[in-house]
Amino acid sequence: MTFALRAFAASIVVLFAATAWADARVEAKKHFKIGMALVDAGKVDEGVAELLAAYAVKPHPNVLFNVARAYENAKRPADALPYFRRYLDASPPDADRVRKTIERLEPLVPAPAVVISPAPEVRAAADAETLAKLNALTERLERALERAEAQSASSAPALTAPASAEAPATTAPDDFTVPYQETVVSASRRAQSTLEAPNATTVITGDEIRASGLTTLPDILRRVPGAEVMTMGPSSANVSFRGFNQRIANKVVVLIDGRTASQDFLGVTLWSTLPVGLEEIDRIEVIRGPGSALYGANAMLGVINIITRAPGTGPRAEFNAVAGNGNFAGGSFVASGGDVVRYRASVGYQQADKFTRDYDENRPDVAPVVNEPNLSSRVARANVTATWALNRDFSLALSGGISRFYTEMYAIGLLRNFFLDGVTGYAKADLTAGPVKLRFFWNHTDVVGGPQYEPIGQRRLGATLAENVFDAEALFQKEFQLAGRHLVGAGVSMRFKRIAWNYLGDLRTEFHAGAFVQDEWRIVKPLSLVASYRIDRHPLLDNGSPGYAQSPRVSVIYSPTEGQALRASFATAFRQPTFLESYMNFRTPVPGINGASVLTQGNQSLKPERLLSFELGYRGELASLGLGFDVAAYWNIVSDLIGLSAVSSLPVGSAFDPLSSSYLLGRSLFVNDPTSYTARGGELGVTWTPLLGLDLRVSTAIQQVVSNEAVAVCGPCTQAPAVKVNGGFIYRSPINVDVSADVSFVSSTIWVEREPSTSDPTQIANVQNPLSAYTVINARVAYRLLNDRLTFAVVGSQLGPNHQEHPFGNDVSRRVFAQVTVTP
Amino acid sequence: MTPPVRLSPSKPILFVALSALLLTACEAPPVFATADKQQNAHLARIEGNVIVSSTARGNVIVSLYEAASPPPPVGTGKAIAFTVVPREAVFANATMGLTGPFTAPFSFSLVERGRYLLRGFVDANDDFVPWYTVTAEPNAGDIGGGLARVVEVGVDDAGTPSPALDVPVSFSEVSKVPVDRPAFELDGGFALFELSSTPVGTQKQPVFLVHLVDANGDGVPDLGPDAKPLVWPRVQLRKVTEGDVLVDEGPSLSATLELTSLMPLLVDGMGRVNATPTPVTRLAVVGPSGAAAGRYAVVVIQETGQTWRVPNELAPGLAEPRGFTAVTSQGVSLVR
Repeated sequence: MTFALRAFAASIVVLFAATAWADARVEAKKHFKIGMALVDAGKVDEGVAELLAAYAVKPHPNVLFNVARAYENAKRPADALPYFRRYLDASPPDADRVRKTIERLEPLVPAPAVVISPAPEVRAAADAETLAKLNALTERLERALERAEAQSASSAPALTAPASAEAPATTAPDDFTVPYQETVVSASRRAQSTLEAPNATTVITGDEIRASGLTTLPDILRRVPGAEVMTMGPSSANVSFRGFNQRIANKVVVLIDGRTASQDFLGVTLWSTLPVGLEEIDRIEVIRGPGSALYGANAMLGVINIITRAPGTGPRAEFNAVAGNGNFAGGSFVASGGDVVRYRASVGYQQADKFTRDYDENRPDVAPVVNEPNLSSRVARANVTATWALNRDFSLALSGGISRFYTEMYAIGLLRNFFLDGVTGYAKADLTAGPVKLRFFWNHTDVVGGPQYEPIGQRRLGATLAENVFDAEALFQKEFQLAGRHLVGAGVSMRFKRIAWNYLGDLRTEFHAGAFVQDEWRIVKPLSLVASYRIDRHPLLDNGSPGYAQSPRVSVIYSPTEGQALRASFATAFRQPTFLESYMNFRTPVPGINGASVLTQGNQSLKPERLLSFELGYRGELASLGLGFDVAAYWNIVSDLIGLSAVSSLPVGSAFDPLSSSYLLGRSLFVNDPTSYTARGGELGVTWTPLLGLDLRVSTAIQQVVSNEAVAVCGPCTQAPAVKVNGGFIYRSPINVDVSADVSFVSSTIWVEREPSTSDPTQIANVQNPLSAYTVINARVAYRLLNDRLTFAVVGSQLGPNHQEHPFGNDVSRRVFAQVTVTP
Repeated sequence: MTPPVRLSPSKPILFVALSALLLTACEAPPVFATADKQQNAHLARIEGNVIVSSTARGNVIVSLYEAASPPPPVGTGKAIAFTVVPREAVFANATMGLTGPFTAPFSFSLVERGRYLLRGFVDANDDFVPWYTVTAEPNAGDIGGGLARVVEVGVDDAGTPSPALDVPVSFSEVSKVPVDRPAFELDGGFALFELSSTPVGTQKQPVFLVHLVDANGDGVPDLGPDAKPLVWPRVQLRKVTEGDVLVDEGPSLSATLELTSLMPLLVDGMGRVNATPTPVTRLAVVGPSGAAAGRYAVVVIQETGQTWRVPNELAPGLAEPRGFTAVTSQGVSLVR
């Protein structure tokens, strides 16, 4: 292909670049790989054209460096110098060396250089018409580059202004290695390529989120291979990985910019109440598998780290409005800007009705407790983040948010659909000082809750709860050489929890502490060893006294070729008992017998739930084809699961409970399951970008959970779907119409839930509830106007057949809504 | 180069119009039957007030029985539900000695369509525990009560269960339970055995209230199908399961009181039935013929509705886990 044609092709790419990619990183990487290959083959101009195409799609300082180097090696200093200078603008770590290069090259150049200069021999060979076309294209290319740089000057990683404790501050050094690698910060508490990560990881980018049109995080997480998302209602969902999902799922840590977003009193994440809008998310990093070696308690089956856009990046202002059926409506405004001090501020509101109601109006037996029994959620939120960076090594970030919410939550045991009405908020500070990072945060939740419906005449179960969690963490990272390159990270953390909840009885407090260390040892170029260890102190872990949980992890990563990595990991993880499980002291009415209750109690002698995990993984990319692969096989042994015991009778002297004025049928206690379980399975994910603007994605996961001892009914075994499949595409067309869709299939399950016998309510038994396989379909069509400043979209979620995702959950049905996005 | 295709200005309008069309469905969420059995049981409720006229103080226990299966002494039905009206709700800070009447609301939730009886008592002794046979009935000093009529939970024309509201359940001093439950010891064989009243727990001196039945008040004892006089208390034998002596198996068999020695106490000098029961501490009982081999529990049903069964939860080995003090005599059963 001649330079003219290649330049033409590149120009086409560039001209549409601002609007015509689905996943910019993948697109850019594809061009970058081709460009570097051409440069290596001596085809400098063709290669540079590809590199510039990559840069136009997604600006990255290293591309400029590579362009400059290509020209320098081709003895074209005049062409090289402008790119070296632009590279310096990004304050790279090798700035001194580059300055010396510039000083060396400048005397060789008699006149100002131009950015793009077709080779003389090509120019000579071209006719006048071609030259005119090339000149025009060059001008447009320059303008496109400028536009792209202007648009994304702040969307590139903030080199001087960290957005979060986990993200830019640690990503900066690696920004100047290989551009367009998919990076994660969650797997090792520092930025690294997903190829280097010691876990199976999945990254969902902000572009993907916005292109999907989905409005809830759980729905977005369906695309993670192996993810189990159980929607009970529009605002009530539980997420797990590799089995063991349940009402009030508590085995996955959810973080927002490194801050715990799960509620400590239950261990559950109230997704709809998170004070962050989807439009503020830069990416979601998901670690599939154990993460306790770095994150401590509860990172048993996975870690979900929601990373928001760095302050000062992205659009200066963005308005979103959405409305649809099911009383679904919402809106948000995000502003971002600043210079020395960068900020991002947002407000948002969203509401939605339930898919279905559990009870009709005016029933003679059961009545709603809430004023709006149709309502599933109503949330108003505000969030602000500001960062100040003195230089690359010192920065301070402050953030805070609040969410005033009404939401649903399906409780455990005999309890059913609860409402929660209250406020949650946080304040957070991140300080980076060279290799040391300090983080403090305070999480607060104040809520009134209770069953949404209660039998008329039965004792009411409303509750109030106030939770305060104070957390501090210090992290130190250092790189050194010793029989290879070592990247060492070490940290300590402390957490104080204070929870007043009338389901627990007295005010409860706990103090937790932990310390961890990790060494990534790159022994030789293709081989790395990652060893991690964490120890956590929990106030009750030693049979009710302070005790310790240890979480080691060892991973060997072998990269036979660039873009390929094989991984073998061994890890342990644990979940600590929640406040509910440790301290609950609650009388559950026996349905239909108003004079009777079941005493449900916490247990301060619980052992933590334990996971022992073996994992083999492969991650690879064929960048030139736009293909990506993610394969994982795991063998998990889960023990000491915490659950409610069968009801055992109480001594006659304890039978009457004056607090509830009822007779206690017996006591159900949180206990460790004596049975251990083996979960084994495999996950396969493939991404493909066959055409400009088109991303395809498909993943599947198979699994089997078995009990290691004989049991009559194995809930964890039958509740884990054997097969999950997810597929989808995103297409951003050059005619400003975007289309995306995704489909998720989940195979049938049988859920084991406690229910009182209808003939004798005093008999409470585990009942098996079969649940059919189901398919979730979501789709979005959008039209962009005014150079993408205005976008209209129609989104359909749950477009497949109506279905339930839990036997007690809503009949999930179609929601169609319109979205308008304005970025003035 | 072909310029990029741009949609005409009318396209966005169409887009918005389409959106608006899709948004028209704003109906309320329908009711959906999940697998939750609690949700799917379409039931009703019974509500009313307890009315207590007594100096006794205590929680008021109201029990619900199916009308077709009344409790002792009329039948052998067991309560299908009960509710507790706390002492504080009924009597508040009423001065001791006042007889009221005191009222407080009660309710039975999640009641199926059907016909029901309501019985109850004021637990003046604070010794009621519904889960064990030895503690599930009133003792001396408790105030009995109930509702004379049957309460019906029906359905309306649409098939929706209709609640029974404003149901009064009365408790009066005149219904004060006169004696403790008829706890006893068992001695003898299946063919002929003797019951000796014995106090258990907080009981003082239980007795058997013996009384010839004279429903029409003519002074002549009513006769049963076997042409023998009907008499209180009634004694039943219930075959128990091999694994658990507290679990009955098969129908109740009626045993016969040996009245020969008691008759002088049950009639007056004219041979007419005494109107008031006679308390005795011993009963001789003849076992039914033709009973199957096995172990049998003995149940005494007093005219007051109070019952006692041996063996019961006080039996050694059964008592300790339940927090009772074991009583050897309460573990005995008849063997045939």
